[in-house]
Amino acid sequence: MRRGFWLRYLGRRLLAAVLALFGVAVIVFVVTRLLGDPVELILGQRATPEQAAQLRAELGYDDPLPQQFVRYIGDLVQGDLGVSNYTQRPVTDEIADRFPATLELALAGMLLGLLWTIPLGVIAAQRPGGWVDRVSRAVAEFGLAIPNFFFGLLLILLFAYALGWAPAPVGELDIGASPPPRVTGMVVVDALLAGDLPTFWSALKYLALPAITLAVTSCPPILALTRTSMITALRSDYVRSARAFGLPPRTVRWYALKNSLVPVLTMSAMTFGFLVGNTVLVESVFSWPGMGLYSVQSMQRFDYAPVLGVVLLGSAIYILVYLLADLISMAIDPRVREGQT
Amino acid sequence: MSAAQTQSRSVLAGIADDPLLEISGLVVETGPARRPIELLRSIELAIPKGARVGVVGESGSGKSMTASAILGVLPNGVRARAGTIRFDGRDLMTLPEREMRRIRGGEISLVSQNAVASLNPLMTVGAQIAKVCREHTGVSKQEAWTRTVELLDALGIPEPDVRARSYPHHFSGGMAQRVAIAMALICSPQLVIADEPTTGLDATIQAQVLEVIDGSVKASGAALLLISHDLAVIRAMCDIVAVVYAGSLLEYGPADEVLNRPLSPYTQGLIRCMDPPEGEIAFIPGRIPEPGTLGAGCPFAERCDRATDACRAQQPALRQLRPDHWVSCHHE
Amino acid sequence: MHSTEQPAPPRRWRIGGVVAAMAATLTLAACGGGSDGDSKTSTASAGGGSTTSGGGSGTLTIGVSSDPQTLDPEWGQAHRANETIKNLYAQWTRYEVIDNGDGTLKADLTKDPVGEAIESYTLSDDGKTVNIKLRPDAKLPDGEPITADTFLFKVERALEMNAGSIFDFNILGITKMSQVKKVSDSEIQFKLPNPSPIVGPMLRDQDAGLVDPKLVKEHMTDDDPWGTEWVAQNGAPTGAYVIEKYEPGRQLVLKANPNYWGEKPNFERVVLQVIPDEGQRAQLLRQGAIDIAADMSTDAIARLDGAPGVRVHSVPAISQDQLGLVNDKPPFNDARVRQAIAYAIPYQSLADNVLGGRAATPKGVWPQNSAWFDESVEWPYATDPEKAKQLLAEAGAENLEFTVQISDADADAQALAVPIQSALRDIGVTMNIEKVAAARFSKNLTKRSMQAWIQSGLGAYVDDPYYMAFLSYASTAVINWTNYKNEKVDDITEELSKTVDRDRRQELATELQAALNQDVPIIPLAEPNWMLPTREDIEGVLWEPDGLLTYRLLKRAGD
Repeated sequence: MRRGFWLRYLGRRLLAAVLALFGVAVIVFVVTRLLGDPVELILGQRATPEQAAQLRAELGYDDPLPQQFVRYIGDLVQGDLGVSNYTQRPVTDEIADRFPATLELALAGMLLGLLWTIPLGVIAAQRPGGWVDRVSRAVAEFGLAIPNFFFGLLLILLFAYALGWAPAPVGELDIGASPPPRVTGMVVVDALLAGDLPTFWSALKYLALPAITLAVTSCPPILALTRTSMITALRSDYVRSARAFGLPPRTVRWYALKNSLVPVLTMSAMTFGFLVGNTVLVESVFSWPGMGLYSVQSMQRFDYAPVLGVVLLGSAIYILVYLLADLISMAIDPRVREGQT
Repeated sequence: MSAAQTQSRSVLAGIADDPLLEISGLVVETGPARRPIELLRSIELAIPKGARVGVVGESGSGKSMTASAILGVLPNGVRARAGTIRFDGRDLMTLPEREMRRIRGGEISLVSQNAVASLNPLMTVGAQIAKVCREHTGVSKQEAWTRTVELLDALGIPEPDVRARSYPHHFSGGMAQRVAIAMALICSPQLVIADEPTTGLDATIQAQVLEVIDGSVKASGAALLLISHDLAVIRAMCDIVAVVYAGSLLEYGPADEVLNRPLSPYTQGLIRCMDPPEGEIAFIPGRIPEPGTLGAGCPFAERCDRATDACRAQQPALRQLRPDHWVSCHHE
Repeated sequence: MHSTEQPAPPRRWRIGGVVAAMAATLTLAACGGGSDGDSKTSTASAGGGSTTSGGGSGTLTIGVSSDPQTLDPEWGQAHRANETIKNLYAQWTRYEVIDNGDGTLKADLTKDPVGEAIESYTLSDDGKTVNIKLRPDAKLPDGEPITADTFLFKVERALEMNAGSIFDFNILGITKMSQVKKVSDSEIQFKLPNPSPIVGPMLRDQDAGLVDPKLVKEHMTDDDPWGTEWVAQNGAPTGAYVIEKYEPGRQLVLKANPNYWGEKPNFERVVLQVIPDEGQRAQLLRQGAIDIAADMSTDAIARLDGAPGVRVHSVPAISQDQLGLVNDKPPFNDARVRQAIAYAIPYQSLADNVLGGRAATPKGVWPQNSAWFDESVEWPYATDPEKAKQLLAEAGAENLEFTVQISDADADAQALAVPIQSALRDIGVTMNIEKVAAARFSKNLTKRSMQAWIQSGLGAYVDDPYYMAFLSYASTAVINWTNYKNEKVDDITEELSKTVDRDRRQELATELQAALNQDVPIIPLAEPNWMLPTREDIEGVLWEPDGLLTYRLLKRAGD
């Protein structure tokens, strides 16, 4: 079954992903067409009707809808997301400028989030109701309750302005500093690739507070779920049986952990998707040059091409992350694997 | 029985000169230390070498808790407060964890009720059995695997080398139970504890599994502690029967004796339920008391039609009323 | 283009036109959520300071709310882009500068603009021919001379691209290249269909700035015949500053153009650091990490007032916060109803309490700081609720109820609406406030689908009576958002379009003001100052009607 199975599975999932993205594209097309064309907005308040008509024709909004749809899908298939009506730049370029920063922040936030939630959830599950459990639940509830931008502001006030341990929130690097040669677009990674350690450290310092903000405010559900699944696993027959057969505690814990991981993975994938899509305010507070502000402004401007690009990218990320989580789940759990045959 | 406790030899000691396992005055409790709830209040048990001892009782009577106590794997929050568990000359209750671990699975092993659930769903069954084998014997991976496959074969699993590579959820209840038995036998233990091994299986499968246990345990020379709520199973399998109720041992003796001439009113009730007179549905009225609700009297007093004030005032000591036959009852 | 705005929440609108065809010309810029609306925060402009780390006085660091929308002058719409373009591209003309003596400078609007990239311009006697003499010393950043071809290329690009900048030429009557003639390498000539009084002011618009023809031509393709895509991202500057590096979303770093022919900029580098959050910009300014906090709301500026090390520059400007009432439908088709509302507005309280004293009460529909404002024209609408009630009774408009729309990006308009609502309640008028998305607000303005609106920071990029009337008050004006129609005003507009004589134009402007004050097609609520928070050592802050900062003049005290 091995190779053929995985290839078939991947093929099926990718096909499903393409169909899902196609569906998203259709929905975006329909919704934006329902809102009306953006011609008046492009032209501004002083536009004359003649101007509007001319532009409408130029942009193809006069064509029958099916024809517009075919053109739109045709461009899409070629990876052409169109041109922003606002900046006149290709949307792919604009996204390429901004997405790596968001990705870097989301990855760092996710990594930190997993690093604190999973071990703490595991430890808390050893003694439900114990002090670790109570403290970690208090922290998790705090993280969930506090708005992420507000927590970010607190961190800034405390660590950047009061204590001076972190740099002021001006983005990814010092004002005026040159970023390392662009490879991935993620400054920390690029600095490392370039072997530029001073820039790497500097970039890490800038990354720390926003990443912590995301880790604390987005990941508590992972902690809660890790704890619950771990408690369930520790109480399960197979763990009792493993202990009864004299397997070392390390092995027993690993059995339990591995069994708890499948739901935690799915939750982590959800969290990551959420995180990528919900960095707007955090990015704003930390002047992080990511997608957040871009998406919001594009929507406010009814700038449809970027909106489409952002929505498609967001959907693709969700789909990819879920696929990844599913692949790992399948690697871990034979029952999930067989559910797919 | 208080005398027995202080000697740390069971009142049952007389049953064999040198029993393999001997439990004496075992008290297991949970809850806060200041107001503990006793789950086992006075368990006595002896298993002679190579014997097959059946423990029978309703659910909640403490049968499985006794098994956990023997293996030292009591659930979180549950602790053994008093008593001794002597196994092969050692007191398991005071043994360091490291040595205890060697005993678990190596010298005493467990076949539990739900075989599928008791196996790690993420590992192939062969790997799990082999892991236990390597843990206790230190043999090579291949050797452990070979032994595993051989044992599965011996236990009647078809295509054992293929099935060893399957995951627990691929097995039917009966087949899974064979796997569990294999895991229990892989290290040639001296004592196998089978905790409701056939509960939940179809009647025909039950018989097969019992046969496997019967044959394989006999062949290995291990003693068997068979825990069941089903007196018929016990009758079919065991030489010695222990009847527990609400955390106390009520009756203990050779199977023939106990099943044919029960001394305890509770045992009598159980037997009647198993084999009711024609046209009658037999039951014991009432329910087993919740842990922590018992007074100082006989735990069965509330449901016993022969209970007297004395029964309710004081728990009767175990008395040997016939040769090798003990009972905890104020009545004759 | 042209709006002015004060710093507060100014947003400007512009015509964005892609095809801007003629449209518009106009002047008033609005602030309220313009089409280009700069995102939700308002944007004002800002200007410069020093730097953080590198510390050298050679670098000015400005915290801005977003990237410039584009670096292509043909396409600029939003405030941030307009300001960047103004500093990157050489303008044909400029206003002369008056030193206020307090570290701030002011454009001299009482005189026609003088040459900047050109030496001079003269109108023929019939006003239909403009002769433009070029400077012999003007150079492109690569050292090559700026010649007549450079200017022609610009005009052709604007006309052919049919983008926003076409407006600057269309309003002068230039629609075809045949009207633009190269006389010699150092002289060009415009042929206008009518005399135009606003040649100088229009040519100083940042959109009209020169692009570097060589750079643009290198990047023209079949798909993109004018190199728009490349220029939008890389620019083709000709002005006092050129681009050192641009990292969208992060920073735009400008450096002094080594071959700039004019007065050298004081700062060698200007860093425009994107700090999207207004609160963070304010905090960074307090910390001294940036020299100027741009794009700040009135409210945020008020909170910076008095902070140690910070100076809030505050300059009276040509800018109004307005309540627009749609004139051609009941109830506001009756002038008495509009007048009644005008009598009910608590002007002093709006200026003092809502705008923190950094605003003047209006003295007419015409902005009082315009060079054309005539204070002899009567403005009777002091706050007088009794008079308001009397007018309503005369008009039979009892129990009047209407809905005013406000852009959600316009914080000042929202703040102004509340006391107005309560003042109107006192005269028995119910004003419902409806907040709408900035883009939707803009669309509603264009479609004239509202009953009333409030916008803050509306201003004229060009201080001229024709420009203002043509854009806002003539019955055909493109931003006549209230559908105001007065034949006398139309006649005055028509005459202004052809009248070059300054005295006659002033007479016409005065007549226009009288008519507007009588009709109150819109009600001016307050005239806010143009404001800019900087570090206290930043000087040379120049206010111009467009509200766009000139980086070249900024300097650090003591340098």
